[in-house]
Amino acid sequence: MADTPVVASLAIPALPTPASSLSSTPFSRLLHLMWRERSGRWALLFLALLVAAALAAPWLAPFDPARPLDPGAGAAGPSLSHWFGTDLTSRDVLSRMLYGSRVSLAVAALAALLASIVGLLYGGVAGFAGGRTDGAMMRLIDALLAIPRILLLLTVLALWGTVNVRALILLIGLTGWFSVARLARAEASALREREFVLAARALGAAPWRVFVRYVLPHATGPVLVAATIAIGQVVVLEAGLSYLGYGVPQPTPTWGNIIRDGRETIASTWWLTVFPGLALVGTALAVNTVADRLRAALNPRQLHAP
Amino acid sequence: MTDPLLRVEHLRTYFHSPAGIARAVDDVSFSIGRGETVGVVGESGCGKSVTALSLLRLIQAPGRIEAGSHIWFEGRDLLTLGAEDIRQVRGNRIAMIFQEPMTALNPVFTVGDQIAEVARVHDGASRKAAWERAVEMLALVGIPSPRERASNYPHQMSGGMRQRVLIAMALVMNPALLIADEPTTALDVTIQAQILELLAKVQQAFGTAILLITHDLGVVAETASRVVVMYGGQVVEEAPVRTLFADPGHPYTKGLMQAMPRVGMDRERLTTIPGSVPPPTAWPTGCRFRDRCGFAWPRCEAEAPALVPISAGHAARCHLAEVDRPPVAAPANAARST
Repeated sequence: MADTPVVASLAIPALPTPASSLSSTPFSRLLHLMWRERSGRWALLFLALLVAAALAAPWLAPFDPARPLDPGAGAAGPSLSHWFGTDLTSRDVLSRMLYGSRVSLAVAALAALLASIVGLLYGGVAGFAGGRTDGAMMRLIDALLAIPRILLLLTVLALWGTVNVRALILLIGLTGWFSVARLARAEASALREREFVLAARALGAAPWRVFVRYVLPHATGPVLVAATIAIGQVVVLEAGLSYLGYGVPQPTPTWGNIIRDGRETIASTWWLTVFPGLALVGTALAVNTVADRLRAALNPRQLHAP
Repeated sequence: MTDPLLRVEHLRTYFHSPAGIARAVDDVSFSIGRGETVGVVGESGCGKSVTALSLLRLIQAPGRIEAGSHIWFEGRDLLTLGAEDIRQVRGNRIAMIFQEPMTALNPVFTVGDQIAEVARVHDGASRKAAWERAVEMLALVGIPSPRERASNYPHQMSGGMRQRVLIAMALVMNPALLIADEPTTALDVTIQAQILELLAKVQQAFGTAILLITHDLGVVAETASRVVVMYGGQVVEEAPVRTLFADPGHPYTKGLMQAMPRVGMDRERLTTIPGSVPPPTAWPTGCRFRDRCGFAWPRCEAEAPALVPISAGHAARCHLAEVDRPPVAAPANAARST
């Protein structure tokens, strides 16, 4: 073990110490880099408002989303008391959209998170292991990717009958990790050749340690971008499934369910389609913009700039 | 040298690919005494880095250390150890530092964290104790204000400082042998001198043996006591450093020396060795250097020379070394008609 006494005697002419004041965390630096662009700013603001509205739905919603306000009255267009109108059973659309955003966003975020974790681990292991293991694991991914996701989901859902929200999250998450795995695998595979991985092995680090400390952190950046894109995809996917009647079961409001409610009278009740539709498009757009900014911000050169 | 620290015997590391077998290291033997510095010299592609990686069994598929090779270290053959046992040797008894201090550190962790990791792996040290050790090691390798520097990320440091960090990582467990693979190649000259000085001081203080791999004879002259010259995956010459410079026994060694700029050289052109190292999948028959050798004669193609002793501790793999050392004056290109 190193004896302390020699410390002083070994000291070599000191190098000048460059002033450095990088105290901010990587996360705040990322936010800052995304905020710099106008598009990133709008997208972040939109999403922040959306999440805040979803969280505060019980306080913001002017009416009970499930209670018909005037039984027998039918759908009414936007008015001062019902900004987004009411649906066929006389429920307030704005209130239903606010409550619906909670379900839609939660499903999207949790399913994307699940897909990312599974994909990161699966792809990371494949790329890190290399050789035949890698080949076999990736061929399986190729096979799974060959089946259209919506088809896979509809088949399972049709066989299953009704599913609750938790099962839906599980299903969407478990059908969404294939492309994430490919991405993580590419990162891990490239990392295996990097000198610092060799250096870690030369210092006696066990494979699991190399995997946790080297492969996972480096694959996380690209996977984060993929996860963000996945959130946008799942928002739309869930709405699609709900529209088809295979998603979140009625009467729980989601954006897709509201559109479904108005699908037969679309010519006369446009507000049942347009407002939830705008929310969907806006969310997908904002999420994709954030993903795009994130990709740019995660560029190591930008991330490491003082 | 009755009981060397490391004795490499008949080391052969081959890479098996569809294009053929690349014999990157082909029957290499040498040894290192305790606290000794041995330089391994040669051009790119001569097998010196593969030799270094083989010592720690870091060769990845399709590379393989062939049967019949032995690496004796502290009484054990490293090639017979299990995966867990060889990990106990890596970083603990034998440590390694790499050429590119820019890429040999993990960019997502602080340098203190990375040094501390070694202590945690091998000593099971607590997080706090390991961090203290990291700070101590940074001070040891001459990093100013080590406590603050420990929480720096690699990109916040200069190349020379990063190489110091790598040396600190290598020294955490006070290894008996330090393998330095081109430790100064990526650094500028003033920093090179500092790093070499640091290595020399480390050796004095801890009695660490150093295997210094380099293509730079100047670095070897400054630091090593013995030199192994490699060419074509083989040892072509081995000698104490003074003997080597005074009386090189292999034409390749001579070529390397003539290609080295010297102080006081007056407008004289540097001589280069013609051609380049042949690919390891197709070493020439006979002497592997013959295609580039100014002294080659028919025997060089017909018969592979053995490593023959010239004097105490001095041996060369050349037919010229055998035949009572004739004056190697006339370039024997004329004799190369086959």
